Amino acid sequence: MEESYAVLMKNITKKFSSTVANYRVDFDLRKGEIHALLGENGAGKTTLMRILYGEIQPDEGEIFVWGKKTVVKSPSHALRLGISMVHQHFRLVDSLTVAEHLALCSSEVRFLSKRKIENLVAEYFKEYYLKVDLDAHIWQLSAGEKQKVEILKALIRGARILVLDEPTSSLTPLEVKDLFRVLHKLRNRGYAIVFISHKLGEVLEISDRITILRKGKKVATIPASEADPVTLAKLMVGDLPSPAKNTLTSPPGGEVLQVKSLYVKNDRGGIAVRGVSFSVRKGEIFGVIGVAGNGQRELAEAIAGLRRPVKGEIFFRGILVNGSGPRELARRGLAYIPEESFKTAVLPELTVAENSILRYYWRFTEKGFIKKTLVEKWAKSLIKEFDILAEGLHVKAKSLSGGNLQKLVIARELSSKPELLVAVNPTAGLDISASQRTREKLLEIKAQGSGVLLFTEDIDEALQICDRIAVIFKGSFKGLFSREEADVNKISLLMAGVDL
Amino acid sequence: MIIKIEKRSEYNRYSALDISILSVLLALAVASIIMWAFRVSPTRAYYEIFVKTLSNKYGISHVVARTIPLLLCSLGLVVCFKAGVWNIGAEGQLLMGAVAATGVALYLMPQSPSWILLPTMFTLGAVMGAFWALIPALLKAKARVNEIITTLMLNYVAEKIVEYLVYGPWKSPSGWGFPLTDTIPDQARLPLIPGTPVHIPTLGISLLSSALVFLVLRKTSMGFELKVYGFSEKVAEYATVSRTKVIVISMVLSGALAGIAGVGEIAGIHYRLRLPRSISGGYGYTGIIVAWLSRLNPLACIPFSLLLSVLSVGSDAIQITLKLPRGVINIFNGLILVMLLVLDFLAKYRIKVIKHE
Repeated sequence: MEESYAVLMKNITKKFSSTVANYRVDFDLRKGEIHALLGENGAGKTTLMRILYGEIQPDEGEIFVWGKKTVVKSPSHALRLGISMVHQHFRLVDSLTVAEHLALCSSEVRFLSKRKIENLVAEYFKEYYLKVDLDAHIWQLSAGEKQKVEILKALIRGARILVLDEPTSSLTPLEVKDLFRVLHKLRNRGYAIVFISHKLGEVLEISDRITILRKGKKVATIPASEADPVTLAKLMVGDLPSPAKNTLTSPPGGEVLQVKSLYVKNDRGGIAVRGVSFSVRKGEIFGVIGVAGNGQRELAEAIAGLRRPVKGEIFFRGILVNGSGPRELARRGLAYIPEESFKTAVLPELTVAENSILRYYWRFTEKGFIKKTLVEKWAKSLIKEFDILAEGLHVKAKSLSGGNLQKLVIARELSSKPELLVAVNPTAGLDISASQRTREKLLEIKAQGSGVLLFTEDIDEALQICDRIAVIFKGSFKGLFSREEADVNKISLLMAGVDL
Repeated sequence: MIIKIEKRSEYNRYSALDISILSVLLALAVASIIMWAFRVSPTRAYYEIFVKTLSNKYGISHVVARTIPLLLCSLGLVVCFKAGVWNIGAEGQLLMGAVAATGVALYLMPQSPSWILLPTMFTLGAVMGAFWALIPALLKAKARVNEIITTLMLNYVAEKIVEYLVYGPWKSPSGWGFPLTDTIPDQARLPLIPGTPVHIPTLGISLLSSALVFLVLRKTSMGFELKVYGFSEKVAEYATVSRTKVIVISMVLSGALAGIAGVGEIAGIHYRLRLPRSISGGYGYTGIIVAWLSRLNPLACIPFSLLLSVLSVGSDAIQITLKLPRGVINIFNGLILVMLLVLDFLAKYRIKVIKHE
């Protein structure tokens, strides 16, 4: 009877020094099904799957793969068993090209021959809409493109059991649809797929069965056909948080940021932003929505003073700031949450307190000395106000989880009393309550009169809190909507590059 | 069979200091094999190096005298390494400081009284050392030229300049053709602890510098900037840290400290410029080892400078008493650094040999 199961996990328990990540969890995965693992951040979804993938060993419990009791010793062992895992935070080597990565995954390509790799991936490119520039280096790719490479890798390795950890967290709605098409096809061909997510809608749409984890314990396994969002949310968090609403308070004020026909290059030297013009007013959230890799990062970096524009003008609080350094802009009140901020805007080797002043340390300085008491007070208030889980102010930031690091960045930037906040996907990867809280905080600083330039890939988020929404595609703005006239379908099409 | 390298989850089983001390002990153990090959009893050798050296005034005073330049060099290197700026040019920076000191004392203002002359020597020595470090700093900051190469190469340039001076224009007419300059006037000489070669002002400067560097790195925004840049250039840019400022300041500080060490060697020990290896004996390079052994902690530089000075003085002694070749001291230094790197690696990673099933 167990033959129909690809994977059977029984009584899995895993403790990390002080926390119990999994407690007596049962999980089974059938051939030809998509089984969603649903739960908030820290519910133990990833831990359970890392155990299956052989990355960590369980303290207790048994694993059966293809009906046979197995101890999965290592990821390479898992791969030999036909299990492949695509991690949420990509495990790619920045300096290698896409072709080199794919060649590494294939036993057929012994020497790096472009033609062979092209043959190898042609099928996937065509059937699964996973086309990626083979010659691009990983560091040049957007989060969305990296995801595609990861999925290609797993497919090339010939995995029959595919574990996807939050696969949609960096994809746009259209890319998600593409991904779902791929997953359906794979399922119909007998692949077994685990889909880890905390997004209810996606889980309901894609999966056959749903297992819900909460605080390391399994709550239930139910067929998707019998599930509905409200029950799932209740099972997942216990209580459903009420979403923040953008109540238009006072009308927005003067322009805090003006961008005039701006051109910015990407790292490869190509034009990433072509002729963008817009302005952000005080007390408004201006959303820029688009698929990853359409120039958002370059535009944000140019505005933050980290990337010199090729052409065009940026006015911040009425003053031309092209070529001003990041310090000058920060001093004038520009806060910046970059993409993947848990990596790009914190230093894991520094303490929590040090990270809490990372971009504003010069504000805590007197006669060249950093005022320790001020810093501690500040760090404490951030931790408290934003619910950051840390064992203290002076522990290294690397002891925090990715989500908490991200919250630390958000806390630091939002609390810096900015005139303008530039944020790139600030809620990507956060759980429901943390995302909701972040959005509330964005609305809060907006109400206090700050301008917010929010880059997002999440249409729901844009519709929920933005006052105006621009769609970015291949470096240009494709349309500008006020919130009242914003329309999901129109925006989706524009994001895909369809001219209306 | 597969050899697998895994990251250890708990890195704190051994403290960084444990590893430093262990690596010195291991280096001594390996060196004893070499001594044994020379048919010298290691116990006797180590007895001579440690016990004999430290049991008489002559030995102790020489250890302290050598600690001064070593400490100054290592402190500067700590600053650079903290910022991830790989200055290995302390040797050259020290020599340029020595050149400046000699130039001031012999040619610029030989008639001046001590209270003007000595501060000028120290100031110009520090400036010259800083200038020698500023060249690679600007090349790195403005043109992204690798500072490891430029600082190393400038060491050779500095050596050649010293050689040129002592063989050429500055050669003493009364020196029977030896590569030496005239001796500097009495008022250019530093006060010593009587009966020892320990020059008091430089000793004071070096100890004071340890405290100052410690304070700068721990408490100031400059120290914070160095640290942030040292961990990640990219995040430092985001954190509004100026790359040019970090590179230039760390290098200039480092060069100035090495330059001061050079002044001390001229005004406190040799009283004249002579061939590079007689003046320095590799303080700039040994300083690298001291900096690593002290885990970039400026206060820890003091004991580790002392330790390596003991090894240096002790090995000089066993050359004579036990007829061991001069290279032995270099073996000590090299072994210590190798052991340190290996142990550091083993503390972070675990090597597993897996027999394939």
